Amino acid sequence: MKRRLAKILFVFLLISLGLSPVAGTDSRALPKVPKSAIVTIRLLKAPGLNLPGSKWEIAYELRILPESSLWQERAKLKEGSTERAGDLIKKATLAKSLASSIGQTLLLEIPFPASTLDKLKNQPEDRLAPGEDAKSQIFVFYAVISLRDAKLKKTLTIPVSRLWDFANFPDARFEVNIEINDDESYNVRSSSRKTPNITIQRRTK
Amino acid sequence: MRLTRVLISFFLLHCLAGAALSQASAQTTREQERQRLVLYALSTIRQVAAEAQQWNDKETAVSVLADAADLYWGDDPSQSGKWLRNAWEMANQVSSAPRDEKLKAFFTGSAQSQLRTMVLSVARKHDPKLADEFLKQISEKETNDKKERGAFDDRTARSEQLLSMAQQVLESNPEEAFLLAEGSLADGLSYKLQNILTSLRKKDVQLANRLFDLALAKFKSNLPDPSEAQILAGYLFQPGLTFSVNSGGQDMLVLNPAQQNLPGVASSEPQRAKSFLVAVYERLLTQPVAIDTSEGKQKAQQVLVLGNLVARRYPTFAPELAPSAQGFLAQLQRQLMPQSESGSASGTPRTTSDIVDTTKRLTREESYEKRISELEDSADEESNAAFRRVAYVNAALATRPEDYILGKRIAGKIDDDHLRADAVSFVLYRAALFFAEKAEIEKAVDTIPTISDLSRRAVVKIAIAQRLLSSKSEEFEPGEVNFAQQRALDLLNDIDRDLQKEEPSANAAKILLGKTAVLAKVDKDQALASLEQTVQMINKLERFDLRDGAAPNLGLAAFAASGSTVARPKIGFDFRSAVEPLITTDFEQISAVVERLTPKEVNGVGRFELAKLYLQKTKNTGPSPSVLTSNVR
Repeated sequence: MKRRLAKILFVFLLISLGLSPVAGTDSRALPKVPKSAIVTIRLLKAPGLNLPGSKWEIAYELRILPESSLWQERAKLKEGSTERAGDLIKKATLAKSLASSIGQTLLLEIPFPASTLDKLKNQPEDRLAPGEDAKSQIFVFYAVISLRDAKLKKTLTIPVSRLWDFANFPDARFEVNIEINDDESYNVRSSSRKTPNITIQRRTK
Repeated sequence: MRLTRVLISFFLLHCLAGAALSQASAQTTREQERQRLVLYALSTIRQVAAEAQQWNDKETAVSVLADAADLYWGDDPSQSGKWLRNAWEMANQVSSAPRDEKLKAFFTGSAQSQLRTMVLSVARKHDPKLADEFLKQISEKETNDKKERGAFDDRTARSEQLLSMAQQVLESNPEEAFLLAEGSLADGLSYKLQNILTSLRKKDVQLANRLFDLALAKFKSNLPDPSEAQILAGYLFQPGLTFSVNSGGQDMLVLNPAQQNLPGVASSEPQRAKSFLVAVYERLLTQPVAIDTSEGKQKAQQVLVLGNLVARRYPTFAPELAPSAQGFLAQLQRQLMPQSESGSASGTPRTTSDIVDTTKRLTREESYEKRISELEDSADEESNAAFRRVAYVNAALATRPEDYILGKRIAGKIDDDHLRADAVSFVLYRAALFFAEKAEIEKAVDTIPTISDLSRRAVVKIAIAQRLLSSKSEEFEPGEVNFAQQRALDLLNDIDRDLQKEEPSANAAKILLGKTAVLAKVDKDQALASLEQTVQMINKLERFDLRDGAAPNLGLAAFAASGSTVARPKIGFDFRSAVEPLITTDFEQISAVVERLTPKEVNGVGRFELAKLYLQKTKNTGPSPSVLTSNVR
């Protein structure tokens, strides 16, 4: 029963993380892999957009881990976990003013080190085949966006955690779009699966 | 002397007759008045139904038209049929996209599907042929629309509707629920069938057994899908849990918490359990599965997941088939995963989390303290300021509501003024609501001034007022009851002062409706004034749903899970809860207030809900003037 409960919790954890499911049977070996990941974060709407004094800052970490480790590392993927899953590719902080449209998009270009490139080159033909999920790679994006809204006269803190699978995003380009409403509630929409495939979970052996 | 007696008798008789006549006349006047108001309510319903057909908000319009058709059917079936057809057409224009994007891998239920159920339920009640016509349209449309399915979607849009209607009527009419569920079997065994079987069993074991037998017969009648077996397996062996496999061959499960602790049915129905296991064996575990295609591999995964779940039931209920079933599953497993270890066919595989922890067992309190301490330490050690802030919020939220001093201390470490104030306010709000729920009134009252957020403060005041006015107040000495009432009124009146400082918002309007609902129980004049104030607030908003009874969401904006850690006051924050205590006595006054709602659709919904509620509340108090009230739910 405990195992089942853990599985249920895991399933909902992954959903709550806005998990992008992993490509399944249609994943193919890629002729070449990208040299860097590009994460575009856009602020589409906020009460204080374009006002002097409005600004935002993102602190982020991009990590990578094999799909086979997801189950084992599940506690670290939970919202609120202070531990991080996967190997660190890059951590950094970037700040911009929101007073003009240029600052309303944050472009994070994250070059892959050689070790990451090796992993990405070694993608399986069929990630469902036995043992192949150890090669299939998942990016983990942890971020905290601090947004000072001059109209609301408040700083909003927005944690964003996402899993993106390389099989579904072979060009390693990801998007996060944010909208802040007048009542301070917000929506975060990000890159999600392109093909109807599977939700990452522990696979039945 | 005789004359005096006669005169006295005459006088007495005259007085008695006069009193009787006067009483009868008062009753007649009251009844006439009631009938006048019933007519007014009915005419309001007709009028709003006519308006609803022009509304932009199709979802609201569909529900109003369906309700109006239900109320008027007996008196004017022709008009009601037209309303219902209009509602159906409008429902078809509403989005069929999954209601919850995050859950679409599991369920793809849409607003459209929900509205269709609403319309179909009314059609089935009054005009089954019309319901069949609508269902036929759904089936025809579905063959043209191929959409991505969730792992736990019902087999067809038709079966989804039939089973949704069955769920709605199950409590009040198990036989009807049985018929609806039976109708769904033509499309196969759907996910909702398991819930219906389990709920039906609680109402009527024989009906549940009949439905199970019909479902099993359907399962055996053709080459079934393994997911259909999961429905019956869940019902027999693990109520509340349903397993499935998605298109990638991985297992998923959903849990119905209300059913998870019910005993398994198999032990009381061993013969049915055996019949099911035999059917699974014959229809699935003896059929060769080709795994050279992705579809074949997926099917094999499904059979394996099912097999792993039911394999351990064979020795108990169908021992003669146990070795063969185990053998088939072991072989299938080898086919699918040649390198995997054998022996997992009898259950789900072990994970590292299954390893027994041999370290010293901590008490619950020690575990709690250790966890909070670890979270706080981890936050202290976080080098990045933004991540550190989030870590402190999470540590503060992990504290128990009553342990607010610790929560406040941790939240106090956040270095951003706004987030710190919000987190501290939330921790205190959560504590105050916890104390109010536990009837620790003084502790709750003492916490109020420390809560900086005025909306949260207002909700706490409503919760305390409600607690003071609830039946628990009988614990006070007789002379103290009024004191409790006065204290409750003072708290409720304070809310106006708090909310005046806030910008108009849906949350503030909900708080005012909640306040009105509590006031209505003790002071009708103040409640009417409060309702008027609510209407003014709603008129300043772009949108407001009068029927949304959910408590205002005053959790920490960036931390979605924070709201679930709060004990919410047990009153409705919707329009109905606010007006219900006054509806029979002050219908006209409330109507006059509601007329002042300016947004067109909100005004319509307000008038409609008020009229419907009046008809519901007065349906048993006398004859209805024209339209039958038997339809008034």
